[in-house]
Amino acid sequence: MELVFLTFILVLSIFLGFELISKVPATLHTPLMSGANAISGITLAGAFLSAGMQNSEYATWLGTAAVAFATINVVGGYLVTDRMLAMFKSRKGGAK
Amino acid sequence: MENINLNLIANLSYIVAAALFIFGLKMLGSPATARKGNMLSSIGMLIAVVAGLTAEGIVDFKYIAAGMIIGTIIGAAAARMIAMTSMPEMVALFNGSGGIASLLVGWGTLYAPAGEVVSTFTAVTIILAILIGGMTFTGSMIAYGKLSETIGSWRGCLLWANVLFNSLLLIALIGSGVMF
Repeated sequence: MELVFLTFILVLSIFLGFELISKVPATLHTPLMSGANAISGITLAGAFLSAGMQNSEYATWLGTAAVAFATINVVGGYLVTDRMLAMFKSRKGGAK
Repeated sequence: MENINLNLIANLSYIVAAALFIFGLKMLGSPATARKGNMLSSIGMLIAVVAGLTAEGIVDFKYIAAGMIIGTIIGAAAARMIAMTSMPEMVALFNGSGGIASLLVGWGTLYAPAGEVVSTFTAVTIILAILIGGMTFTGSMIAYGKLSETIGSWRGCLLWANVLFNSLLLIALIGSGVMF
């Protein structure tokens, strides 16, 4: 049953992603890519489990490394996207 | 009882976070609301991270805290200091770090508590996580190298050797997965 539910969610999210992205102006592609990439840092939630459950020493170390990398992805991703968008906006304001 | 409530709240928070991600992405699609959309999406991430920390079975926060501090410092510093012109490389690097994170999560999940049997479904998911994470990582590293123009011909060869090596590893992995 778990398999059915998870596959269901996967299929729905594929459609959702396609619908969300399909009508975006080309100038916004780079920040959109960067923002969507930051969301993929949600793997952090899985990394917490691996780092914090104390299953074994290996799992803890792998989890800690995963937490660090995923946090880089999240923090860096959002900050970089914001910087890009800030530039986008000021340039647009200047043109007006 | 308290545990059940906490679990319920955490799961509901994930739904809220997912909704914020979707709205955030939608708003990122139009120039006027793009910045707000990014903000919304980051709030969703914050909610998801807090909910993730309450997950059942986490007994030790020391390593999580260490990992998060290291990641925050590196990520924030890199995002602040990078020149505007080298943004694409930076995004490639961040994407690669996300890829290797999911690879490591998959790898770490293999070390289940003693006595607990990893189900076939979980095993297939783990193999997929490791495969896709590894592909994301190597692909992003090659993209980074090309964008920053540091890949010379021999380094390209080296990376291809790396990919080949990973493919062999992958075949071994699938083989052992099937045997498992």
